Amino acid sequence: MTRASLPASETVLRVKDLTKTFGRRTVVDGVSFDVRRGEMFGFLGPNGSGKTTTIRMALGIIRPDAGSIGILGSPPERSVLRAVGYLPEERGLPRKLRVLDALRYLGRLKGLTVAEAEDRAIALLQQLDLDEHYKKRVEALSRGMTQLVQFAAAIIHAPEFIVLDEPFAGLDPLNVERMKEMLFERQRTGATIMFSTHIMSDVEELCDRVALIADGHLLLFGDLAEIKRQRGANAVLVQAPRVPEALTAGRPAVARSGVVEHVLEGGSTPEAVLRAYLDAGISVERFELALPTLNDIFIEEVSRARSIS
Amino acid sequence: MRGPSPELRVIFAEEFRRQIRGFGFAFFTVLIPVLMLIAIPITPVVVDLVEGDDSEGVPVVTGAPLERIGYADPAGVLPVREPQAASRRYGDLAAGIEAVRQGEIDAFFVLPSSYIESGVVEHYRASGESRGRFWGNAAAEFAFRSFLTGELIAGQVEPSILARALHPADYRNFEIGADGAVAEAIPLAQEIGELLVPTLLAALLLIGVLSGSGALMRSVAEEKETRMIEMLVTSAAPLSIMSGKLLALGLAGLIQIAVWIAVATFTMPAIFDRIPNGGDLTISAGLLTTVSLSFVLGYFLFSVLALFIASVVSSSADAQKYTGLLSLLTALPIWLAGLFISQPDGAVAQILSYFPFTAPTTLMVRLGAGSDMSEGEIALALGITAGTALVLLWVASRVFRAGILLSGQRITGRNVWAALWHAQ
Repeated sequence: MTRASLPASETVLRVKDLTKTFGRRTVVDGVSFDVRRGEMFGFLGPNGSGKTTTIRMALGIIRPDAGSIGILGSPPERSVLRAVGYLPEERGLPRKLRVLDALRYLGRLKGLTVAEAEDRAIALLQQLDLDEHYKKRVEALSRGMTQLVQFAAAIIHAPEFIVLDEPFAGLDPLNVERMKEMLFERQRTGATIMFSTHIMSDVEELCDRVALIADGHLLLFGDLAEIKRQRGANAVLVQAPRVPEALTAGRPAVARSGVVEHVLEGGSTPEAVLRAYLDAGISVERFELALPTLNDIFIEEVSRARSIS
Repeated sequence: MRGPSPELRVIFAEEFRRQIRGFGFAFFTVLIPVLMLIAIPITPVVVDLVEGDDSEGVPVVTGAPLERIGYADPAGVLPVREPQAASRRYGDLAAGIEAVRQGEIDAFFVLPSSYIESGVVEHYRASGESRGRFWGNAAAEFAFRSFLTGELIAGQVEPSILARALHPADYRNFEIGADGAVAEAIPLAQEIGELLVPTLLAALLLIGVLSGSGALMRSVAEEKETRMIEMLVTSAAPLSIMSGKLLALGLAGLIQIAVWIAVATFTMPAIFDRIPNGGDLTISAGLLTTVSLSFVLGYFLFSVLALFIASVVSSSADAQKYTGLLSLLTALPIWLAGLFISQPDGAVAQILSYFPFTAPTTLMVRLGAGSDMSEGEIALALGITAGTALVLLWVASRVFRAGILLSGQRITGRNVWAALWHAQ
């Protein structure tokens, strides 16, 4: 599984100052970000943070109270949305419909002929290892299978831009891997992918750029590696035969697979850690700055935003 | 001129397929014709039961007997004649049984030697017949009874008297007005037709609403509940989605009605043929036009109402509850049919004629019951129905898109207003 290299930085989705209020509650407040062509973009946020409402506004399902949306260079109109594939958060297909009928129906709505829709549906079902189930009614499928079928519906028309709202929620690890592989495949053929999630490991694995939203406010947006670099190292990883006593005086260092993690606290710096090893005459085989995980950043940012509000 | 959008056509085709594949559609489409077909053999039996067994009433059979029958007469009470179309005479029981076994006749009757004293007649027929045993017996016995009546009194009276005894009266009815003026009454067949046709159409409207509009409402609510609607609105305009569904429901309804009418065209004359003095079922052209218009407008109104409700409810369980409301509104005038027949222009009938959701059915039942509604009153009632349907269609199309937001909320005026506001 490999990430595709990013082509030109053309914008596929641009939202600017997007705001939406339901009753007295502002669920999205002045959110701005953009998604570039060919990238895999992670849209993060805790539950109820406004991710789904933002996606719905971006796709023209609901209208924003303020702000602007540009999707594939136009407002979110039907003609443009034909080139978009969408997997909603709450999943479901008509229960009485057969799997193939449901895919054919949704494919035809995206402009495919009956034959095209059927051929692509069968190919996708084979890829998802669901080809034995295409004659079954949707109600006979498990929740995970239904989710995969709906994923197939979202990409059946080979869209330029794929928007997935919590795509991996409820799937077993095998199907998560299968879906990720298919997303990479789509990305390699030029599709842009944006997905929302609150599972940080998925984002770290898949995404180049991210936006973090909480309580309707955008907290972070940009290149994931750059965001981590800006945060700076909060620990160093050292592989050496032993740990200098100077560094174990306060508390023992944690070692995993021969690698010791020294948390940088109380004014400690990476340079000071390295000097302690060299002063003790210990040869260092590996020395690495440990950048914060996305999970750390997520918790820190969301907690800070909530404590301020 | 621009035609319908491709998305509308796809949604129309899908919804139409879903409608006609639905259990309700198939069930009611088949049930009504089956009931009509069953009514053909039942009618003479019912007529016979209604007329009773009194000796004064002589059953009358017009046309060919319902079954091929044969008989033997050990009692010796029937004259020996040339073979007749109505029944075939056999020498003894064994010959009759063999005739049944060979399929020459459907039923064989024996008048035993004690027939005159006891009145007992033995009836033989093949076992394991595919048709209902009860109805087959009843039809054959009815036919033989008519034959027997004629034969028993043949030769006892003048042929003209015999003919009259078998067909004793064709009634002409007159009505005496309050001023003493006498006018010929509407023929029975027309009277029955003018009551039967509108009432049947009202009942069919109820069935159509139950099977079609209810199914549509539940399917839209399910699409909202499962968020399938979000995938649809990224592919098609809400108006296309709504129009596609509405047109599909309309076409499915029209096909259903066409099947019913086509079967009725064949079955109703056969049923009326079996009613003494039934004659031809007739209905005036004006009344037929008015009730047909009421039916079409009523079907349209309830389809739009179903879509409107589906736009604002958030689950198929909620939609199920509102299916009851639809049927209540349609059925109310049918429940009150007794009142309308006795007082077709009473206060209740008049009020319900101008309330849009009861107007179509009320109009059909009232007109069938012989109401004296003027053309202006009829036009007003139909106008209210059509106007309400159009206003509701406009509101529903506004609410449909915004109604997606109302997930998990109860249907209230405030919610509908909020949905309308979001649709701006």
